[in-house]
Amino acid sequence: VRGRDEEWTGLMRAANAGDAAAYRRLLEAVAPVLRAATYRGLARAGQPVDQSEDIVQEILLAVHLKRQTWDATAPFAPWLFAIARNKLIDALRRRGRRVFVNIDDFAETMAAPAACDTLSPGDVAAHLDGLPARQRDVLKSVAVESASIKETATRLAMTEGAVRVALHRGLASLASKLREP
Amino acid sequence: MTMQTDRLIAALAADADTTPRRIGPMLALALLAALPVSVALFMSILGMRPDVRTAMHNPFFDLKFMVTLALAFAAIVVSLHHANASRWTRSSVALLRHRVVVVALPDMGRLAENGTSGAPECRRCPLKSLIGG
Repeated sequence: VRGRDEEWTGLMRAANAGDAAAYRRLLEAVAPVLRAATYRGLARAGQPVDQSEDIVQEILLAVHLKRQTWDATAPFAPWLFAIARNKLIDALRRRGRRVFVNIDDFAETMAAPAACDTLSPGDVAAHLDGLPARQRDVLKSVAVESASIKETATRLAMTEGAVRVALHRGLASLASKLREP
Repeated sequence: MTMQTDRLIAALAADADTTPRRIGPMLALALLAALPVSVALFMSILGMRPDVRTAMHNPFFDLKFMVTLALAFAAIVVSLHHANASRWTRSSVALLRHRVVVVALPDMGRLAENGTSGAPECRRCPLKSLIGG
């Protein structure tokens, strides 16, 4: 687990220095761990575990939007798990549960594979439709249809810069919509 | 319609080169821009005191700069700590200490004023040592 933490810290440093590939690898490495811990946290609270993927996505969004608040001299994992724990508590509270989540649930968790493709349409996808048209189109194109920035720009007749701005704003407003109860 | 997590990750990675704005450099830039503005305000509204050459030899003259600079430094440290959410808990003790400093400093300034001229209207403003009494 310690080697894993060091690897994450290194990847996050590279990511904050502008290395998008390292950033992607980091998120891909982190997601299964978050998934397993969220799953376990939901199960322990007696909640249906089918929403764990939404919570994972919420955590990833929060990490993305707050990544400059991570202190590069500190290890990455505790920062990540603090966010994850808060997001899990938020999600449980929205269902009217008062809960205590043990942060060790995250720290000691091994990775879990992604659930199958038959996920129910969750919170994240539902909120996507409530975004301003341009942000929604860009986010759908990049996140749902897996198009690149360039392809999206061509398809929507926008400049690449405008696509990037709309993408960033879309992610930010998605995260703020998820924060609402 | 569902959004798969790996696709969300792709979107986040695509957004990664939107360089996150770092608070430190932004604040430094703002302070740098504010400096000529405050000098201009000072010169146009208050103006330099006529006896600044003699006042300079008073040791309290320097002290007043130290007071304002210490205030500014404490304010910068507090703002940076506020900006950095992840350091919040670790810093709250340090923050408290800075607050004490911030509260204590104006009193020192007042003490200094009383020590020199004793002009009552000067007591609240350390900068007044630069202005004609």
